[in-house]
Parts: sequence; structure tokens; C-alpha cells
Amino acid sequence: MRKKITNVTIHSIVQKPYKGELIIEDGKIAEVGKTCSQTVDEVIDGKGGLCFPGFIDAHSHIGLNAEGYGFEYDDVNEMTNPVTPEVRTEDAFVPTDAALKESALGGVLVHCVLTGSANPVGGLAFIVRHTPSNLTGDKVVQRDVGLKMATGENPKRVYGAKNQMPVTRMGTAAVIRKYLQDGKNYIEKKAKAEKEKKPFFETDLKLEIAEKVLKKIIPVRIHCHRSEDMLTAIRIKEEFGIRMVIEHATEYLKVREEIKKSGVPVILGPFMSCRPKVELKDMTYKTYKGALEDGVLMACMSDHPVFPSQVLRLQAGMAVAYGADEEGMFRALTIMPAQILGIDQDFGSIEKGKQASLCIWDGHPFDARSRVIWNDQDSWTAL
Amino acid sequence: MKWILKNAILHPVTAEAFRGSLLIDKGKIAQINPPERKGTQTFDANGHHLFPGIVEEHCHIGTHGEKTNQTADQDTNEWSEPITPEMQALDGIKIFDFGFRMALANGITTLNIFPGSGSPITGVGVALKNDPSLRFEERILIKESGLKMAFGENPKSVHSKTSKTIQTRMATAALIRKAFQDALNYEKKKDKEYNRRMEILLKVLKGELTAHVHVHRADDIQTIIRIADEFGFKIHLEHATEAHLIPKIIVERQIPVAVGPMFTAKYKIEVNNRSLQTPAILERAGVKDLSLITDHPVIPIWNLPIEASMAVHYGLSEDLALRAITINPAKNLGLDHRIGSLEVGKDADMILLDRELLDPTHRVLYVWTNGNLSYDTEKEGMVL
Amino acid sequence: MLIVKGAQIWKDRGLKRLDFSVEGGKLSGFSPSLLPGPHDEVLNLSGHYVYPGLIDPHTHVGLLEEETGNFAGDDVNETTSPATPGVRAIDGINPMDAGIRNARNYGVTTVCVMPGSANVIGGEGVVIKTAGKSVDGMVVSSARKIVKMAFGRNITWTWSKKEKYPSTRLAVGAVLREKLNAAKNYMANPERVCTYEMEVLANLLKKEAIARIHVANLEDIETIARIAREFDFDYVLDHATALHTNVEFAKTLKVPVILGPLNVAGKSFQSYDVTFASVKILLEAGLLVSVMSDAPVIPLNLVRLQLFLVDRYRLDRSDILDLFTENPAKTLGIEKQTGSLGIGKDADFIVLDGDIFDYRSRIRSTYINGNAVGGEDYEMDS
Repeated sequence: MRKKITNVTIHSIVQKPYKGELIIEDGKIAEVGKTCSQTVDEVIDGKGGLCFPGFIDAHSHIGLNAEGYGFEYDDVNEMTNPVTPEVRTEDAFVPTDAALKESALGGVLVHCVLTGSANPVGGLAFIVRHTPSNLTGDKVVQRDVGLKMATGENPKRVYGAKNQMPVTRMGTAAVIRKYLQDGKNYIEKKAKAEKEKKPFFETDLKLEIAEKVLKKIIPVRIHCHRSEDMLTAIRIKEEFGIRMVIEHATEYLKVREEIKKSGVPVILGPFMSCRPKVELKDMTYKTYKGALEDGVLMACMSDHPVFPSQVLRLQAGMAVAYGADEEGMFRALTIMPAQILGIDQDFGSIEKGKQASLCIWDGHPFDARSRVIWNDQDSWTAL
Repeated sequence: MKWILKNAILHPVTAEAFRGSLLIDKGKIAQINPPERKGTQTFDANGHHLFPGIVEEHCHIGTHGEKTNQTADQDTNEWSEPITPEMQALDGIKIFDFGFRMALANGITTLNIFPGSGSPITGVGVALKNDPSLRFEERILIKESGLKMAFGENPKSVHSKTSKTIQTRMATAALIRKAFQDALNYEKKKDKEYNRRMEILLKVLKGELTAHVHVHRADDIQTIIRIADEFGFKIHLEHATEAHLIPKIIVERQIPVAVGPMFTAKYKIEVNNRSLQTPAILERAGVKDLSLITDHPVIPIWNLPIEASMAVHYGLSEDLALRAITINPAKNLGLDHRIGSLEVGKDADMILLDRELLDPTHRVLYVWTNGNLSYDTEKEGMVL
Repeated sequence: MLIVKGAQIWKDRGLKRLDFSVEGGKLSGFSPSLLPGPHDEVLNLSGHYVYPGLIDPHTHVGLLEEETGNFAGDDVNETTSPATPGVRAIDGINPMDAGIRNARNYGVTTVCVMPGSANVIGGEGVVIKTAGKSVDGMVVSSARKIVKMAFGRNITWTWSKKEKYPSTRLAVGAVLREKLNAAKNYMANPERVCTYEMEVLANLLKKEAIARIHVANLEDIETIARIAREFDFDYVLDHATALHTNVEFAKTLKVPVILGPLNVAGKSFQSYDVTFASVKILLEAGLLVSVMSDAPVIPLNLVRLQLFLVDRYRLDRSDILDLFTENPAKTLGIEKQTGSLGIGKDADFIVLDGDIFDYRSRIRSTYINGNAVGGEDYEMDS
């Protein structure tokens, strides 16, 4: 089954926008250009709309707190133990969460779903895409894509209330360090057992994940708002030689030099909110502009349900209002999060061979009045 | 609009079944076996069974949120205080609750909705016509259909934890006595401010409102009879699980009894003597004013006709079994002039079934309320 | 030898006019006409109907007792740890429970009794006949070993109230993975110290036991399927309330399902999707389907109501009876012993004075291992 989309302006992200056509075959982009020559089974007239790659929300809790069900569907934070690397968002994800459909209406077709930030060591994230299926399995793009960690006020508040470590930022850093050190010891023990050809080695599922982190198979996705928390995170990264992504990075501008030097990507947001916590005091949309200017790998997050994923695009629009480069903000919704998440071979731009994760808009996505009138997954269309 | 329903086996409930037709006019049953008229819209029932819409005398549809959050949408029991006659079930109902559709799809066209049984006096019920084509306020048949009271384990277990006013059955009785005495004192008082709580209790004392009393055990039944005698008000017994142990008392005083829900486990001590034979035993003792209830969501409301079936299995007459889910609850609510049987002048609330109502394997095919088709199972599917 | 004469009997998916004989508690012969010998006892059941005894594959009778109020007879959930593979249902069963009496009086001759669903790993279940004073003598020994598990919101509901792990569904799968990994370590360790808990889980990984998993929502069924693939064990989906919402997925699982309790309102977040239609949908999808009462959730004296209500979906009546007889027997691995009427099988049968689908017909007597043990009139007498 080959489908052709005609009569659209293609915003491929990798090229300047142009009026063109593209062909979809087996869910992939088979051809894209000013005109496409292959014969097709179906032609979709885009009616002069704007064709964008589906936006990627690189930091979300969508599906972990299904809309309209309250506490019964609240599976964001396993707040019973500060170190829970073994928990997985895939196990708690609700594929019928109404927010997934709504996000698609806002152009967001891919979500990276993380655990919350109550625990210094949170759990494993996974990536889903929007599909009409009611199964998680049909939505999975990639499993176990990062280990969530958290610094700052949240772990302190949660475990402080229980008189349990950590009650300070020092405690949080210590809990994280101990976990990673346990992981190092575990790797050594495992290697030794192998060397001595021991018949039996006792595996530990918590530390198997630390092994993946320490061997750089997966990155740490660390929640930081304040500058000192980001520096602590980078310090730990250097000590253990691990891969890291800094999440939120609210005070990015205060330590932009250090972050740039460290090579750590940042996922910024959600800045379209109020400031109920001390660590959010200096939150500003200007951060996006700064990060773009610095040339660091940067993505724009919703942190859904903190800020609804459906209107992620408006947050990017606000960043433009505060001086960020418009084309840069489109990259922060597409190719840059794809690169950070390691799915850029399939997602993040309109190029031959990539997944046809596409939306047609009837107007500029940063304009609140614009709508998605077609996407590659839903039978629904307003074309 | 006039229309004719023809070729049905009519079960009027108040008379023997017969094959025939009905003329419906302005939402009412206008004529039985009308002459054929040209130009009148006709519905062919294909020889299926037509019964009056079923009447549920005691349920919590709408106050209990169906298929929804366990606390956010649960508004059945205002358990903050033990005596709350000023509560109205009407104010706790979620209009678009799925339970209404569940009831309609299974042929239940009138619902009496009570507050729960968590307090000695919980509040006032409301009787609704389950007609989705009407605006909500238009569905109200009786705004104050009875004062709900409760005895036994429920008020005890709730208020020993919440208001800490009840530890024993004695306190439940004492609080009820005090409430009615307060109402009498209030009435005598000069220059009084309007007190809704007292006014509702006075309505009960004056016989304008009936007390519907949640009660299981025989001793509790006798306690409420004692109190009702002391203050001289009318009671109906709800659940009445051990009524079959003291049928004489009930027959002598001609107290209406609503038995059910019959299909739950014996999970409370006070229901240990629950028996599927209770309706049959009461009938044999001479009780005529028997109705059956599901107490939905305690058991799903589709069980209401099945309770009647099982009562027949255990010896209840088919006649009383049918009355117990139609005309008897209608009478207990004071609505028997409008609903509960297929008779000329009554609301055209009717259900068409492929087998007899008492056969639990029947399927409801169509439901009409006030003469309008409200549920078409072939199109909308069974809710079960 | 007992010769039963004159009845319509349900055999090979239909009613047939056959006599049959019972010897040593087993069915020993079927024939249109059996001639009794001089020492044979004869039971004339002309005008009566004989069906195999019903099987309920998922109950808590004896563990969660009726007629005892809230606490004294409640031994269903050992909620002191989220994984208690070492506890056994058999040690908590009171054979005098009214629930078990109800079972035999209303035609249920075999039940599977399992711990509740508050723990990820609840403990070992057991299959018993419903008559006897000592539970040990009631055990159906041919049944496959059972490890009860539970998934989804029942777990988090229980443990979040205690503010203990696993308080969210993030961690429910993690508890199971951790325990199964411990069992793998245990099996691989040449210097292991034997523990009953680990032996139970080792049985599961060796496929001597089967996991019986309480699960309702589709996403939790997916998680279970994922973990079962990771650790390679056999399982049955119990409740499986939302499975019918994706038939194609259900077909790929290739596991038995036990649906129910179906005669309940949508009172909790796990029963939003509950419907009798699921029976029809999953049967048509070719799955091995049984129906449970979850007694005492639905007491076993009402087991026939479920039959009537399933019948509203107008399925083949043989298929409906299978839901309560042969299918649960296959799921429990006892189909060679009971669940149908055949030579060599246990003489577990019920005698009715009419067709089982006629609500007026009554169960006149229930036979277990060839002995009359109950019937509806027994209840009347008590």
C-alpha cells in the first residue's frame, strides 16, 4: 500500500520549507521532494497545509496518570523507596489515556515516558508513539531508554516527610553515588566470577541496571532545576564516566558555560507554568534562546501532566516570543529530541527511509488557532 | 402522537395474560385491543411478550458513580453526622451516570433512589422516571419519596469510626428517638426559625412522608416497629432479611416489605439468615405487600426480574413475583395510578421480551417510556 | 455397584437417555439399558436429568468464610508482604464454611481455592471436592500445582494504603521480576539452602506449577504476558475483565482465561469493562474459557444464575455448560478425573428435576465420588 501526500508545504526540518509531495510505503517515507514519481494506490490532497514531522515530547508522564481518573490511575512515583531503578514506566503505562489522542491533535506523536522525580534513583523510561491501538505493545518505539534520577527539592520533600535519607541535597547525591558505586562493585564481582569460571553468580536486577548505566548502554536522565543541582549532576557524571541528560534545567543560563563544556544535552521546560517551588523562582522562557545560541543539544518538554502535551507547541511559541530562533524551536520539538533519545535514524525529520510520523497543519503550529488536520495514524481527518 | 402496538402477548400484571394490541396516545395507554385504523402508525410485536416497565423501589443509581472513581463520584452516604434528614438523594445524583442506561436497557423504567444506610437517618429519596428523552427535572415523579432510615450493623460500623456517636444498636435507637422528640419540641416552639431538618421529620410524624427503614435482623425490625408505634408514624421495611422469621408481626400490622438484594454473600453477621425462600414464606403467611429490590450497586440492577425468578424457584407464586417488581413498588411509592401495570390511562412504560419476564434467559428487545421508544437492544446492544 | 436408571444424562455435549453404573466412586459403564445384578443398588431417576458436577476454577470458599462477619473467618490475604509464595490455601480452609456447603447443595462438586489478590504473589492454591470434614481428604490430587498471583490496581490499592512498596503499578512488575530472578539464582546455586518459598517459584519455572494471575485491565495483561515471556512460565488469566476489548491480542496469548465474576456492577476501577458479552467474544476467538464465581463474591448457591445470564447471549448450550464443567477441568489439569461423564471418571454428578437451563428446575441431589452429599432440599432442612 503506497500513499502519496500532495499539495503541502514540507517542513522537513533538515531543509528550508518547500511546496512538495511525499510517498508513504509500509509506514515509512519512500520518497520526498518537489514531485514524486512512483505510482501509488491512494492520493491525499493536503489542501495547501503544512506538513511537519510529528513532534517529540522527550520528557513526559503521559499514560502514568490517565486523564479523568484521579488517584486510582496515578502511577508516576513509587515513593516507598528512594532507590527504585527496577521499576519500569512500561509496566504502568495506560495506552488508552485520553491525553494521547489529545496530544496527537496538538501534533505530538512521540513521547518519552519517565518515572516522576520523587526518588533520587527513579526507574526505567520508554518511548511510545501515537497509534489507534489500545495496546501498549503496539505503541512501543523503544524500551529501557534511560534511568531517571532526581535532585533538588522533590526527593528532599518526599523522604524528609518520612525522616528517611535523603533530607538534604547532600543526601540525594550520596544516595545516587552509593547506587552507582554498588553497581561498580557488582560489575567487578561479575567479572571475577566469570574469570574464575564460578558455576553460579547471583544476579541482582537493581544492579543489572546500574551496569547498563556504567557501561554507557543507557543514559541517566536527571531532574535538576537549580544551577548547583546541575553542577552536582555533572560532577557525578564525571566521577563515574556515565552518559547523562539534564531534565528541566531551569537555571540553565546561570551555568551555561559548564553545561556546554560537559557536552550534556538538556531537555528544557515546562516553563509555561507558575512557580510553586523555590527552585523554580528564576524560571524564564529566555532559557530556550540561550541554549539555542550555545548550540547545545536541546529539546522542549511538556512534563505532562504538569503542562499538557497537547499544547507543547505553544510553549515553543512563547520561547520564540522571548527571542528564540523559530527554526531552532522546531528542531527542539523534532530532530534534537530524536537525537537525545537515540531515535533519530527513524524520527525527527521528513527524510527518505524514516518513519512516516507526520502531521498536516492548517496553519503555523506556534499559532494557537492552528489545527492538525491529518496525521499518519488516525483514520480521523479534517482535510 | 397515536400509535398501535399489535400482535403481542400482553401481561398486564393486574390481569391474566392475553394476545392483543394496545393504542398509545400522548404517552398513555389509551385503549386495549383497539380497532384497526388506517393511517395510525403500527408496531408489530411479532408475538413477543409485553410487560409493564419494571419498578425498582430501592437503589442508589446516580448517587453511586457507575464505572468511575471510587471516592470522587460516590455520594450515597453523608456519614459526617448520624441524623441528616435534610439530605436529598436528588442532590447527589450524577445525571449522566451509566447506571441509568444499564437500568433502561434491562427494562427498569422507574427508579426510586435513596441515600445509603450509613446513618440512623440518612435523608430523603427521590422517584424518577428513567426516560432519557426528558430533561432531568422532568423525570422527577416524586421529589420526596420517603425518609431513609437504617438500623443494625451499617450505622454502627460507620459512626463508631466517623462521628463516634454510635457503638451499639441502643445508640441508633436512642438517636432516632431523640430526633423525633426534637421535632415534636420544635413544632411546639413559638417564634421559631425554619429548620429543614425538623420540618422533614415533622412530615414523617404527620404521615406526609413514609419512613423506609433499612433493617435486616428480626430484633431490629421489632425495634423500629416499637419506635414507630411510640411516635405514630408509617414505616416500610427495606431488606427485611429476617422477616420470614417473624411473618406474623408483619401480617398483623400490614407493613409493606421490600426484600433484597437476595444475591449477595453472607458477609455480615446480620444477614446470616438470608434465604431465597423469604418471599415464599412471607406469601404463605399472608403478606401481600411484597416488593423486591436490588439495592444497586450492591447487586446490579439487571438482577431485579431474576430475583423474582428465583423467588418463584423457591415457591413464590408467579403472580406475586411479577407484582413484586411492578405494581407493588409502584403502590408503595404512591405511583400505582400512573405506572406498574398495563392498564388504560397509565403511562405507556412497556418492555417487549422474547421470553417471559420470569424466565431469566429472556432478552429485552425494546423499552418504551411514556410511549416513546427509549431502548432498542438490536441497535444499542445488551447492557449486561 | 450403583445402577442409575431412567434419566436423561448430559454426555458428549448432549442429553441422552442412558443408564449408568458407579463402582468404587467411579463411573464404570453407560448403556441404554443396564440390568442390575442381585447385589447392585438401583437408583431410578425416570423424568430426571443428570449433568456432570459443576466446577468453579476460582473461589475463596473456606478461606473467606460466610456467616462469620468481617474478621474471624477471613484468611484470604496474607498482607504482611507483597510476595508470599510460601503460604498455602489448604492451610486456611475451613471445610465447614457455609460457602462449601452451598457449593455442594447447588451443584458445584469441585472448586479451586486460592489466596486473594492483595499480593503480587499470593501463595499456593488447591483444588478440592466440596464434601468432607477434612480438607486433606478433599484434595483433587491430579490437579496441576497452582501459584496465585495478582496484577494491577488491587495490589497498589492494598500497598499504597500502607505506604509500602509496591505502591504503584510501576513497581508491581518489579516485585514479580525480583522474586522470579531470586528463584533462578536459587535454582542455579549449587550450595542453596532449601526454602519453601523458593521451591514454589522453582516449580513454576520448571513448569510443574502454573501461575494463576488476577488481572483486569488490558495494559496489565500485557505486562503479565511480557514477564511470562522474559521468565518462560505457564499462566492462566483470571478475571481478564478487559481482554475482550482486543480480540486479536487475546488470540496471540494462547492461554486459558477464567472470566468473572460477571454478575457485578461497575463498582471498582477494575470492573469498568465487565460484561457477559466477554464470554461470547472470547469463545468465538477460540480461547479456552471458563467462568468463575470468585465465591463468596458471588455465592456458590447462585452459580446457575451465571448460566442463565450467559444464555442471554444465545450461545450453543453445550458451549455454555462447558464453561462450568469441561473447560475449567482442562484449565486445572483434572479433565481426566472429572468435569464430564465418562467411564473411569469420578462419579461427580448432579440430578435435576428438569433441564438445567429451566429456572424452575431444582437440583435434587449432588453426588461426589458416587456418594450423595447434598442438593437444594438439604439446604431447606438445615
